[in-house]
Amino acid sequence: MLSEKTYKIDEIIDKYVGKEGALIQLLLEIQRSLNWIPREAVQKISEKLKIPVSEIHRVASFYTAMSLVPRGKHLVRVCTGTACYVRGASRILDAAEQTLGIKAGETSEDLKFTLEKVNCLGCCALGPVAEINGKYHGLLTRKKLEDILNRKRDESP
Amino acid sequence: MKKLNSPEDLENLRREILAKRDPNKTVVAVCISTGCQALGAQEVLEALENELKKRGLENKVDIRCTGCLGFCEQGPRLVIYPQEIYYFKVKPEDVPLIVSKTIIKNEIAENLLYVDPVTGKTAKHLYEVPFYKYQTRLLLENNAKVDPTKIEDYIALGGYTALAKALFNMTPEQVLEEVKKSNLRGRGGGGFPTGRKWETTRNALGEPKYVIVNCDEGDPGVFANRALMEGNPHSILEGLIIGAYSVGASQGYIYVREEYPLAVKHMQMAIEQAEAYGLLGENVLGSGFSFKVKIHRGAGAFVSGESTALMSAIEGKVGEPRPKYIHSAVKGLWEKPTVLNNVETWAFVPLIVKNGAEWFKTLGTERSKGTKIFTLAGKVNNTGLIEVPMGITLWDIIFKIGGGIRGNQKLKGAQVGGPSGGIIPKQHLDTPIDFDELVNLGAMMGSGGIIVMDNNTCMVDVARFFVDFLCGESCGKCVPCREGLKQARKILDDIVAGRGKSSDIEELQEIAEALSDAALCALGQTAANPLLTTLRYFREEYDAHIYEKKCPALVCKELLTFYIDPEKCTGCHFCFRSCNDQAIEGKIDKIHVIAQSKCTKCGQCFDACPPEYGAVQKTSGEPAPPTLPEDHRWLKKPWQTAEVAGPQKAVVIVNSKTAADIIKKSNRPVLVVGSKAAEINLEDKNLIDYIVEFACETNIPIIAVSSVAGEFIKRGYKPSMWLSAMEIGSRLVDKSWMGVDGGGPHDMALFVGFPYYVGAELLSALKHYAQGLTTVNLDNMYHTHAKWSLPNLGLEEWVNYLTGITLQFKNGGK
Repeated sequence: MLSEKTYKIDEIIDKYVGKEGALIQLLLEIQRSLNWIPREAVQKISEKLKIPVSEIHRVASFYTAMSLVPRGKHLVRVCTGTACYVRGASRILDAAEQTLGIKAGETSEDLKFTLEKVNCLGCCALGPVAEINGKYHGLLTRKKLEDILNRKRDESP
Repeated sequence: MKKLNSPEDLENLRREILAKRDPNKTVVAVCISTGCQALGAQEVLEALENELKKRGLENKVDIRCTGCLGFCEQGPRLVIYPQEIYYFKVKPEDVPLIVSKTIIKNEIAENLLYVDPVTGKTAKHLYEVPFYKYQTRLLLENNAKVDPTKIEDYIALGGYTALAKALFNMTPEQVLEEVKKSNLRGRGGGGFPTGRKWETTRNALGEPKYVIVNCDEGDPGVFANRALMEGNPHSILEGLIIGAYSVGASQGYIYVREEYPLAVKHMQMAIEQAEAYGLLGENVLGSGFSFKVKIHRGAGAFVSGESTALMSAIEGKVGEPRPKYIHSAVKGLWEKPTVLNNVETWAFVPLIVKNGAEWFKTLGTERSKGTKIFTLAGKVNNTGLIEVPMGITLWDIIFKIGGGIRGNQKLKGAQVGGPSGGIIPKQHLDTPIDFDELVNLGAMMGSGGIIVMDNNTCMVDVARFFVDFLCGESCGKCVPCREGLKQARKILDDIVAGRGKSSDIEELQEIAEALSDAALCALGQTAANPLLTTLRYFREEYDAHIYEKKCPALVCKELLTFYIDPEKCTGCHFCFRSCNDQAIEGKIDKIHVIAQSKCTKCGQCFDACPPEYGAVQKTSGEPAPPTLPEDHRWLKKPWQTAEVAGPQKAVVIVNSKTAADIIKKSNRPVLVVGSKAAEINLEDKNLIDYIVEFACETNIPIIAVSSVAGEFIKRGYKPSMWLSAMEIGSRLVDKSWMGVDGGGPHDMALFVGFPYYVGAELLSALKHYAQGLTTVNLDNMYHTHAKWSLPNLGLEEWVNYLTGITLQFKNGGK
């Protein structure tokens, strides 16, 4: 498992060696592929691209799309943009926090769920909206979201 | 794919594409943009493919996946060409009907048409739908006509002819001149004249030059750029190539935020296809001009939409703004002259080059020309993307296009321009909107978000929301923004929590001024707008929060009190179940009350209470009304049963005389008294007191449920028997049981004082298994399984019945 991960990291980094201004795209690709940016990757990038670790940390901690801690299997992103907010997004977020037992920005201990709040998913006409594993769910109610999350929890061991 | 080497090649290709098309062939256009997908467009698409295959129609009907038409809430949306029939809110199960009725028989499926909620009329065509009727759709028009993944669709509509015209019939200077003449202003926010920006870059020293598309669209509440890039990526690309030709750039970047994966995918495909046709890359269309484009994915930071921050991000650094001592048009990306324009701005370029500046200038106001895409969201009936000429009033947008305020609420104001914009109150909504008017009102065009707010929106809370948002998004580089916003948030947090002080407003004002004077970039400079506009227009709401500790819109949690209106509570128990904090007291068919000491004001009970009851209420600035004492909480409302009676159901006893007559007909009646008899208070007495009176007067023996036997004895009356309720039922069913006195089976059983479900169960059993026994219900809730039953009665009416029956016996004797 570890070696496969290492191999993947190497493979991604090698694509970007020698390219100008590639750090963000590189980190995003690692994020997409592993669902987080492990310390190992940070060190490798530093070595291969000759960028100080501190600089990589600065970038990775600045952007919300990147995570330096492992994320859960299911990524739940509740939109709290203005349009969703005026239609009760904070209550939807409450429902997600209660159902999953974690706060926004946290990952459940069994690594099953990560809950995030995002600024805008660009589906403002359908507020409140949440994105779960890349699929958008519009016109949400507490009940609807709770049902979806409970289903996801029961889905796989 | 053959590379196109001249404008003639392009024209020939267009003819070829059109010649291959049969204009009469049925085409079903399905919107697959993010909005419709969130409502299940993918499932509809699959159902359509399967249905067509099943009926062998896959070669006779084309399916076209298209972009967003803006009316997202009514999605998933289909258009059937050539008739141009629009179907909204389509579900996969509607697909067979669409195929059999519309595609095969050419008839309209009325139930899928749009129904105007105001007039109730259906609309077959787009121009009949009020949402579209008042729009002028220059940019969004083609979203329903092209498949964004097929360049041929775009070319068929005359795509890339503007590029050919620019490259072959115009010099770069002429293109620039045309854009300048059109008065096109940047759609990204500030409204800087596009032509002037281009000119600066063109004249600046330094090579190479760059052109950039800004699709960061980090403003919450806006998705115009997403819709355009997902739905018609080539229009943006064509504009970018023309711009590059005009300013002399050879490299372009398209910056797309990470949250828009579909936009990235479609743009990537557009670039590849344009390159394959020779419309992009080396020697474009054989003109000798070369231009390359790369996509850069953002990583989730609002500030990256700021031009210099965006350029830093493309350079691979943290997306922080830099001071603009020298404009980025002169020293931008990698310190080279750079034009950065918004998606919408670029998409206008081909239209202006093709139709001329004069055409563009016919629309709009004196200083703001053309149309503008707005995202209409919030508390209006119709939400979505709209494109309107500059100069339209917000009033028209909200009431004509938006169809008015949702749920008959009152309009309070509209937030325009995202977090950097401001809130415009109702009284100013009739101002014609353009770049300058909005600034005068304290807002800005921003990227065109209009969020409508009604009476249930608290303006202090909204200001706090925006400040909180900007606080999180501040990059932290300059002090006014980093520290100022933090302090403002702290003050606002205090105000909404009821800890506001009289000095707060002055302090907020000071912070706001410092921000707009001293922040490094536009994010910080405009961050004060939501604060300043709410302070200017909604000062009384701040005052209510600070001095009266009251939130007039009933939003701010800490200032709310929840309570249950005893007049409206039906005892349905929904609120009880929804409460995680055991703060609600109540049983089924009792009035529920909230224990204020335990209530965390989460609002779950408010949501759980069925809207037709509306018993859970909120109040602010005053305590909840006193709750009813424990023994007054029995419901006075008639009971409604959901039980299905079957062919036989109880006959309603219409008055106490009928009741007495029925009882008198019986030879051996028995009165069965349930567990609630001692708990129900009627006027000054207890139900059990009425029962004792009745029994003494009529000499009818009583079997009591064991738990109330003691209550009888306390009152000096000894029931003939006491057993558990179910045991009483078994005895009555048993034909060989000789009754309470051993004198033979009873022929009638009267029931009173039972919880509804116990009574129902007993009566149901007796109805089926105790033949020869007549059952009479004397409780105040209609029991369908009895032979005779009182109707649903209020407590007062019930007392009248009970005393009435006793009186009948007094007068008539037995």
